[in-house]
Amino acid sequence: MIKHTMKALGVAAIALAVAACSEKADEPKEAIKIAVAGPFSGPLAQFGEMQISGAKKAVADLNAAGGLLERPVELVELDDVCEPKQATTVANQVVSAEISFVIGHLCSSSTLPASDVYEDAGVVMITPASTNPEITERGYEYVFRTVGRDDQQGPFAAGVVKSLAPTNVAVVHDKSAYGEGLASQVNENLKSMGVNVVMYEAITAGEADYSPLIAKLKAESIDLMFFGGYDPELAKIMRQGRDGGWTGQFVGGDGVSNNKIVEAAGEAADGLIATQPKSYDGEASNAALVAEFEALGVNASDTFVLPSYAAVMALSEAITAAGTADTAAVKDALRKQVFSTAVGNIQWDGKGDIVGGENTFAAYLWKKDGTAELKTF
Amino acid sequence: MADQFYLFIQQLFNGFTLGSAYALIAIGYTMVYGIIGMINFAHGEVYMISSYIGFIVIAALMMMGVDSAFLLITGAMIVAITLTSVYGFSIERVAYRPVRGQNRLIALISAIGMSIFLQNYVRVGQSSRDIAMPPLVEGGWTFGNPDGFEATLTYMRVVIWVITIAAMIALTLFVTRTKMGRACRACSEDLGMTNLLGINTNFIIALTFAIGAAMAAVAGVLLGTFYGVINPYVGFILGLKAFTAAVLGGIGSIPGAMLGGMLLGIAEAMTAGYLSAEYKDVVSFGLLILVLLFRPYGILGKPEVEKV
Amino acid sequence: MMRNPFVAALIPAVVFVLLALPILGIDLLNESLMLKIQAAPAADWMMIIIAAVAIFFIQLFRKPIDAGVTTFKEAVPSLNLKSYLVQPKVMRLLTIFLILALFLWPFLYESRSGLDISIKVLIYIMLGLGLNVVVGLAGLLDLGYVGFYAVGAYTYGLLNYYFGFSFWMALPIAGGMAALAGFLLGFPVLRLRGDYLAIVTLGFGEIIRILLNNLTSITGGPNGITGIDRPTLFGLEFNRKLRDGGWDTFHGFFGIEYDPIYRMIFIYLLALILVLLCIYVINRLQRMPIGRAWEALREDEIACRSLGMSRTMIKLSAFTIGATTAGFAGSFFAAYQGTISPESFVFIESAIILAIVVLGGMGSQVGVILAAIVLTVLPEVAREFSQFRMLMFGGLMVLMMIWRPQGFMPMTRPHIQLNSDKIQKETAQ
Repeated sequence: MIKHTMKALGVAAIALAVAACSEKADEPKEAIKIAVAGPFSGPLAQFGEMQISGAKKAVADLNAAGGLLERPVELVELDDVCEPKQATTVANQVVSAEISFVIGHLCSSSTLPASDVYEDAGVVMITPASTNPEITERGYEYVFRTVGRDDQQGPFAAGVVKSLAPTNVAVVHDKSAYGEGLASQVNENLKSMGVNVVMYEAITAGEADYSPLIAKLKAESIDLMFFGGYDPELAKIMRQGRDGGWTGQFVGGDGVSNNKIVEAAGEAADGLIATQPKSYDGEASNAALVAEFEALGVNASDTFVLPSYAAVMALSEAITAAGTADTAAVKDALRKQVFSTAVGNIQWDGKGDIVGGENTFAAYLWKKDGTAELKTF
Repeated sequence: MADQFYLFIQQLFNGFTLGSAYALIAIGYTMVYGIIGMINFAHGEVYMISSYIGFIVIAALMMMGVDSAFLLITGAMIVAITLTSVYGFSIERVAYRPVRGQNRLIALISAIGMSIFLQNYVRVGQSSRDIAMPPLVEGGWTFGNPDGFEATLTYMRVVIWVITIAAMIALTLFVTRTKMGRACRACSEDLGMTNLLGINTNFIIALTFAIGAAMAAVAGVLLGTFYGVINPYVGFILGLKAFTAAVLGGIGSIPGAMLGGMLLGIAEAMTAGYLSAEYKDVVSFGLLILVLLFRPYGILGKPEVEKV
Repeated sequence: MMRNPFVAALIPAVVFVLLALPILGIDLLNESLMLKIQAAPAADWMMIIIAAVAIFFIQLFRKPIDAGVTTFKEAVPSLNLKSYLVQPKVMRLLTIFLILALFLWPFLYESRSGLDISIKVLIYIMLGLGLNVVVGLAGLLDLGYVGFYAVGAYTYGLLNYYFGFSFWMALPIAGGMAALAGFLLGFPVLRLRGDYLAIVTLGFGEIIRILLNNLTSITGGPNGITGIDRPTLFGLEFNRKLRDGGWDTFHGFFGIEYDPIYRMIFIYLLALILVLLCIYVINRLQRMPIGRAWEALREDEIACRSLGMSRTMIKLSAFTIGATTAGFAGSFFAAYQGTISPESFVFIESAIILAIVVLGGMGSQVGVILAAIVLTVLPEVAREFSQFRMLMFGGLMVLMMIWRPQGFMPMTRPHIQLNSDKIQKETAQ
C-alpha cells in the first residue's frame, strides 16, 4: 500500500512540476518564430551548418528590413542528428512551443516522420534539402521543399553514369530513406537505359571496415560504383577502395557532394563525380548575396545554403502576402504565386514540389584539392 | 579457380587485420575480468581515446615537419601507450575501486556510466564529427592475376600484424617470466590469498588495468592509422565485439583472448566476404552462442568451481 | 610515513590535467585537407582549470567528505515515511487521492510537453518493472532486454502496417510474441553462469536489432515503420482527419474542435492504467511461490537446486514475465510515437533500463519507479545543457554507484522490527 502511495506521490509531484514549468513556455510571444531543424551535431553536421547559415542570414536580413508583419523574426535551432527518433522528438517540441514554421528537416529519414507531426498540428514545413519523393506524395498540405526530388535526381544521375560508358556498374546504398531511395531510382533508370548493373548492394552506415565490399568490386570487375548515401561512408569506401587496389570510378548523389569528403578521403576522392541541386552562387542576380555570405565566412556554393535562404525568404513573402501568421492562410499563400528567390523562380504545385524540379540538378567533379568543378555530360 | 583462391586469401588478410584489433582489445577485458571478475564496459572508450591521442601526436609531428611514417607511428605509439595507461589506471581508481567487493551489478553499472561519460567527454572536448588522417603507409604487394582477381596486401596490414604479434609476445613473456607477471597470475587465481601472502593487490589490479589499456592503445594507433578516420563513437562497437571475442576464447584467459579475437575477426571477414556484410554481426553473436552452448566457459576457459 | 596532504591532493589534480590536456585542451581538426591541431577555445581550458582545482580541494578535504557520503549511504528514507503512514485508513485515503490526482491532472493543466514526459516516464516505469523481475528478483543479468521491447513494438507496427490490426487487437499478440522470444532466449542461457549470461543476452538484443535493421523489405530497415495507428476509444479516432473505413473521429463524435492534446491525454490515461496493472500483477507474483522462487534463485542458485527447485522453470518464468512486460511497453511505444526505427532499440537503452533497476534498488518496485522518473526526467530537463546532458548522465550513474549502491529504495522483505535502537540498525542493513 505504501508503495502505491510513494509511487503516486512521486509521479504526481514530478508531473505537476514539469507541467508547471512548461506552462511558462506556453505564453504567447511577440516575435514570429521559425524553427530550423537539422543535424547540428553528429556525422552529418556539416549539412546542418549549411542549412543554418542560410537560414540565419535570411532571418537577419528580414529583421534588418523591419521584421515580418512588423514583428521581429526569431530563429530557433533544433538538433535532430539526422535520426528519425530525434526528429519526432524535435517535431513534438516544435508543436509544444507553438512554433508555426519549420525550415527542415535535412535528412529525408528525419523529414518523413517529422512531417507527420507537422501536418497533424498544422505547422508549415519547408525542407531545403530532403529529396525523397514520398515526402510530398502523401496528400499533405503543409509540406514544401526548395530542392528537387530523387525521382528527378535519379534519372539525371543515371544519365551521367551512362555517358561515362562503363562496362560493369555497381549500385550501393546505405539503407537510409534518402540513400536507398536514390539508389533504387538510379538502378531502375540505368537498367532501362541498357547499362549493365551487376551489383545492387547495401552497406551498414557507421561501419569502419569496407574491405569485403572492395573485394567484391574487384571480383566482379566493376569499373563504376554509384553510391546512394552520405559522405562519411563514401569517404571510407573510397579510401579503402584505393588502398585495396580498386581503380574504378566513383559516382554519388547530393549526400556526398561537399568538401568534407575530400578531407576525409584525401587523394582517394580525386575524380569523384557527384550530382546535387544546382549551385546558384554563380548567378549574376546572387552576386551581392554571395559576397555578403562570404563576409560572414559562409561559402554560398555549399549545397544547402541558398535553398535554405530561399525557403525563409519565400516563406516571409507568403506571410506578408497572406497578411497573417496563421498557417492555414500561409500554406495557401505559398501556392498562389511565383516566388523570385536565390535559387531561381519557385512555384509550388499542389503537392509542395517545385514546378520544373527536373532541371534543378547538376553534376560536379571533385578534385583532391577540395574544389568541385561543374561538369556537363 | 585461381581467382577464388586469391579472393579467399584477400578475405584472410582482412580477417587477420580485424582479428589483431579484436585480440589486442580483448586482452584488456579478459585480464580485468580474470583478476576482479568485472566486465570493464569502458574499455572500448579507452581504445577510442588512444586513437585520438595518436592522431594528436601525429598531427603535432606533421605540423613540425616530420614526414617519416616510421617516426610518426612510433611517436604516436609511445605517447598513446603512456597516456592511455594512465587513463586506464585513473578509471579504475575513480570508478571501480570504490565499488570493489560489492555486488557485481554495481560495478557493471558504474562501468556503463563511465563508458557514457568518456564517450561524451571526448565528444565535448573534440567534436562529434569524423576526423581524418592522410594515409601514412601506402602501397603494398599484390598477388594474383591482374586480369582476374588481385589480392592486395598493403604494407600497413603487415605492420599491424607484426606489431600485434610483438605485443602479444611481450605480454606473454611478462606474465610468465617476470615476478610482477607472476603476481598478476596469482591475483587472478585467488585475490584474497595473494593479498594475505603480502602482495600489494591494489597495485597489481591497477597494473592490470594499465596493461589492458596499453594493449588497447597499440590497437588504437594502428587501426586509427589504418582506417584513417575516427570519431567518439568508434570505441563502442569495437569494444563490444572485442568483449565477445574475449568471452568466446574464455574470459579470464589471455591466450583465450588472443584466440577468440583472431577467430572472430576471420569469421567476420569470411561472412562479410562470402555471405553478406549486413549480417556479419549476427554471425559473430551466433558463433558466440553456439560455442557457449557446447563449452559454457569459452574455448580455453576453465570451469570455475562455485563454492558453497 | 606521513605524506604531506597537500602533495597527496596535488597528485590527482596534476594527473587530471595531464589526461585532460589532449582531449579537452587541444582541438584536432581537418583544415584544408590536412590533419592539424590547435589550442582549444578558452572555455575548454577554463573547464580543465576549474576541474583540477575542484579535484585538488576534494582530495584535500577527503575525510569530511567521506564521512558525509557514508551518512548518505546509510540513510534509508523509507523508514520515516513508514512510521507516519502506518495507519491503514490514512494510507488508503492517500492512495486513492493520489491515483485520482494522477488521472485528473491532464484535464486541469493541459500541457503537451508535460504529457509527453509523463508518457515517456510511464513507458520506462513499465520497462523497469519488467527488468526488475529478471534482474532484481531472479538475479539474472539480462543485457539484451531492449530486444523484447523491440519485438513488442515491431509486432504491433508490422501487424498494423501490413494487416491493419488496431492497437487493441495487437496488444495481446505483441505481449505474446515477446513472451515467446523470452521463452526462446531462456533455453540456451539455462546453463550459463552470470557474466556469460550477460554477454549472450546482449548478443540476442543486438541480433534482434540488426535483423530489424537489415530486413528492409519487411521491417523498413533503418527508417522503420511510420504512420502507425494510434489507439482508439471504442473505434473513435483521435486524428484530424478520419482514416478510410473508420467509424468516426473523437472530435467529430462529440462535436468539439480538434485538438491534438486529446490524443495525448487519452494515451497518457491508457499508459497509467497499464502501469498500475503491471504494478499490481508483479506485486502479486512477488508474494506467490514463484516470486519467492525467483528470490531464492538470486540469493543462492546451488541451494535452490539442492532443495529440488526446478531451475529451468524459475529462469524461464522470470524471462517470460519480464519479456511480456517489455512487449506491452513496446507496442505502447509504437502506438504513442507513431513511428519506430531500429535505433530506438540500441544497447544503450538496455543499459539505461538496467541502471533504472539498479539505481532503484534491486527488487524494489517503488525504487524502480522513482529511478525511472529521475532517469527520464533529468535528461529532458537538462536539454538546455544539451552538450553536457549525456556527460552528466554518465557521471551521475558512476557517482550513484559509489555513493549509494543499494539504490534509492533498497528492497526490504517483510520483517519484524524490535524496538531496540541497536537491533533496528542491524536489521535495516
